[in-house]
Amino acid sequence: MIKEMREPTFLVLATLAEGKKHGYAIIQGVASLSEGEVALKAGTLYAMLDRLTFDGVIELAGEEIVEGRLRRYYELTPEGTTMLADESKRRVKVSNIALRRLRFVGGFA
Amino acid sequence: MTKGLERSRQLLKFYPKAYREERGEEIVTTLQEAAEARVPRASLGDQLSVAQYGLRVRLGLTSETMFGKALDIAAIPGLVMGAFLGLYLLILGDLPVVNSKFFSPNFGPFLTVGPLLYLIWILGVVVVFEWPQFRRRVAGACMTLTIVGELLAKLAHRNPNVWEIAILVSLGVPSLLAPDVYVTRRRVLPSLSVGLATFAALFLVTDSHTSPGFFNSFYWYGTYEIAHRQPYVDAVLLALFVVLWVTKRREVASAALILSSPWIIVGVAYPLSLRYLNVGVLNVVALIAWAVGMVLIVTTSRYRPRPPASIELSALNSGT
Repeated sequence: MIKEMREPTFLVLATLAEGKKHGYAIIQGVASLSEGEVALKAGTLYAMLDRLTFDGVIELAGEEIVEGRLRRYYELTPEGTTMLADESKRRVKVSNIALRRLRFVGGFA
Repeated sequence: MTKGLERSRQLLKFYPKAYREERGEEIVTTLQEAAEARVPRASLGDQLSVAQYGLRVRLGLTSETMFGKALDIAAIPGLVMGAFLGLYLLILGDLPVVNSKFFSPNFGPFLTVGPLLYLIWILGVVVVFEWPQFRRRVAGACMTLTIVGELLAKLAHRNPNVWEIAILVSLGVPSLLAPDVYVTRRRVLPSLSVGLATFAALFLVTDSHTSPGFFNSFYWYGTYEIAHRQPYVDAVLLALFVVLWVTKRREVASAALILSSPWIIVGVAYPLSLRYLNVGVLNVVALIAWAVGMVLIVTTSRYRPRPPASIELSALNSGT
């Protein structure tokens, strides 16, 4: 199981929170969520998918042939959903504290 | 078949057959779709990353394998071990012969360029503790500069002992090969403990003196003493390995085996390189035991196809 969630992992899981997705759709989802900041390379994506599958965070959700090409879909497992929810709450909590403090010192309108 | 598709398929040759059969078509599709989005062809970065991951899967160097996990654990402690070895060589090798008039030419006040190389490793560790995500680049830079420095010193000045430099460079290898590129944990205390243990072990093993003079320095007797007394260290390492293995901390045990690699190899290679020294039988036994351990780690880390359950699920949900 993942001990600490790094940004790219969080972005991949957040992309899959929308529903099952195939390889390139995950790359697009990560780029969109991070506003272009994180551009996953294909090799990096498959290293992550293998690790997350091994850790039981995501699983295969089927495959289809589109224009003669094999697309394999991935989705969050119940454990992955819980993990993403916990991590999201933690990030929101920390962000809220930071924003409150910034308002207090007048550094944020 | 288009040229791009052909190139994508060629990249799959980097992967082991079992992985290729299971995931190959899927990777080609992703590469093709990425290529179409980034007209006119898939970026070189995409292709290189696919080839690099293929090699990692083939060599068992992924985050899921015993080998990969052990390398992740050994990475930063390996660099710290290198920095402490450098510190030891500086204090017990170079300082005792500083300003030596007997050996000329010198590198500044020092006998060799060694202090410069050791400083690189010490600085490298400071950088890695601050920015652990750059561990791989820092290790690469330390290793490259050390090799280049040693080669140049051989031409221009007295070069540090090649065996110590070989150990130093080898200690950067786990950082270079470790699969976890997003590492953020510093593990300062365990890493420093490994470094201090190395320093203390070297001090005890080589029966070091700090009094000045070449014949008191590490450079006169150090490598010989390492090779000569290696069996004592090996016995401690073996006990440590057994305890870690029995207590189910097998990745840590494997990491210990990886970090002990350069010392065990030098214990045999150094006397082998000299006509007047015999190779210790116990050192050969240790080398064989180490080799068996490494073969086991590498063999258990080879890619195995997924369990049938996930393949059945995949077929069940097939959209064809």
